[in-house]
Amino acid sequence: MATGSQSKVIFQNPYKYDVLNPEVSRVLQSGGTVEITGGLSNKTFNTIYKMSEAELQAVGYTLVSRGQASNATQGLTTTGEVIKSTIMEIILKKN
Amino acid sequence: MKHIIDLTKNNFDRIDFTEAKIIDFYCKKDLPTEFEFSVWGATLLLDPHWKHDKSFIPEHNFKDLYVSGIGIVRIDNLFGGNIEVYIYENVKDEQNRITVAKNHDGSELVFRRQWGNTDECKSVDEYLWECVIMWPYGFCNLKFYSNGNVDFKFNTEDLIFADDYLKDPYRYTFKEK
Repeated sequence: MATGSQSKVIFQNPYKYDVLNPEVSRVLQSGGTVEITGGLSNKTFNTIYKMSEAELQAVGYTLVSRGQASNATQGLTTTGEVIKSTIMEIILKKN
Repeated sequence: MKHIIDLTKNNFDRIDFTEAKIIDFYCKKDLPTEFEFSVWGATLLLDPHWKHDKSFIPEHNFKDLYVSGIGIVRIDNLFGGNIEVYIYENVKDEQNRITVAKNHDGSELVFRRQWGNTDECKSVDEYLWECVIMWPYGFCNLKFYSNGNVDFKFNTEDLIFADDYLKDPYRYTFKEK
């Protein structure tokens, strides 16, 4: 994917990978946004969701908003039960 | 062999409970200062690095481990909490999913309880479990506020690779009978 070619990158319920990795930053154009949704008990998502604005700035992003997601879809557990956790969302802008 | 992992404060990120099932949960109307409940299926997040006690981990293993057995979560110095349980239907739908039961008016059937005034608990640590509970059977959002210790005790003989659980979940998950 070409460098700076994307205006938006969306992550839904990321699990066990570095969402704000350099590759994401590379393909995102300056001023482009990253939208990340997930439940707070998802430790990967929660780590990003609770980052301070200073910590986000240190990795090259500005906080746009964070709060409950408006249009989130619920998944299933591995054994087929519907998940009813509150889905949160954080939106970041690349500096 | 029994082993205890400290989950206090940021250590809570050492274990993932999203695939777990809360087995025994008996909490009085008045919240006690100490509380424990049993959980099947906690996942120890070893990958990519586990910076804590390695004494119970099989040698050269860096993969996540699933506790295919009952462990005990214990919390000290409780200040408050709340629980809501979305009650499941006891039969699967046509898409083989276990969905939430509905009231006559079409709304979802939810049980809720709150302990203490949780608005006054913002200065202490918050611990969240979002997972299945076996009784009442449903999806549980459980939150406790504490300024004490939280830990998880389990039997090391129940550890399997989390990948093996994902490949064959019905073999390793909790079974009622």
